[in-house]
Amino acid sequence: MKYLNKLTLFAIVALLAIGANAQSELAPNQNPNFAVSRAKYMNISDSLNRWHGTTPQETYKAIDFLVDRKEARAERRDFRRQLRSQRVGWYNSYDNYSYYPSSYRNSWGNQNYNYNNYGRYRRNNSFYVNPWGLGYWWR
Amino acid sequence: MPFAGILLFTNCSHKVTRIDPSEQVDLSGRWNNTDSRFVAEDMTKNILGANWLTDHMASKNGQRPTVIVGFVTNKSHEHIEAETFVKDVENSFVTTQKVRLVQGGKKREELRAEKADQQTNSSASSMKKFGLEQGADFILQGSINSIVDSQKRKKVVYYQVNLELTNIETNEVVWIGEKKIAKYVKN
Repeated sequence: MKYLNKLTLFAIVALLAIGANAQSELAPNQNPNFAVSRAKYMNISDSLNRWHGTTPQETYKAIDFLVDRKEARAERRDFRRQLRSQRVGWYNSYDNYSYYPSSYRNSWGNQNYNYNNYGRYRRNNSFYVNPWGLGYWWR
Repeated sequence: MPFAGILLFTNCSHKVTRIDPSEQVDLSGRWNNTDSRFVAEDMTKNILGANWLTDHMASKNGQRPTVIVGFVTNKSHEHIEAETFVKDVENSFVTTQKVRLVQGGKKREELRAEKADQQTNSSASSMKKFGLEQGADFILQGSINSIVDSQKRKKVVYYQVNLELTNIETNEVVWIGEKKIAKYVKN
């Protein structure tokens, strides 16, 4: 009985040793440093593989005359809408009964025709200003 | 009463008609179901008729290859979902039974989560074991590219869809499928 127990123990140890050896044994022509790469990718495989089967969207904006024109129109329309809603605020404020915001007026309460003072709502220098000094704010 | 008439008229103007999915209807010139179908038909036909399949079976004693689907990156100027044509390719793998297909991505995570749930909730005889998944031999990846050339109201849009099959162990690309689509759009 004692002999049988020793034999069983020996068989288990031998099997474990063979298993461990099989794990560390290199396949033919395998890089001996493979474990470095394996350790690196074992840690990140989950985050990389989660999106398998999906379509990552890395789109770009193509140059298209009609699309660009449509976008420019929408932008202008949006800007005018914002300007209209701003004007409502200017009308309703107690400290300012002017059609124009305070930044448009000089210290005497008149509208300031200085080209450089069209501040917040200016897109470029020529957009609001004409040679007669009146802003094209309605456009 | 006239207002009701106007409402009735506007309601009648909206019309929906069922059409055959294989019918070609081009409205805007953008990527549509016809383009997806063309890509699917071409890729399906090519991938199952290429040498990689017979080569693999010859080297593995007639065993069918196992494929997993990876990323198909859309690098075009439009939003395109590759799943519409990749699913057709997957479908051909399953229906022809020439290629074994394994789940990847979120679906695989869901499967593992279900398996984990079974470890504590299922009966011992019906519980599925971890560590018995079929490992893929090849991964299917791809890309969608486009070139747009426009002049005022005229436009030429070119799409190039590539699918690649790569041996996971050796990184060797064993098959590349390509579909080119060009459209001339005049507004």
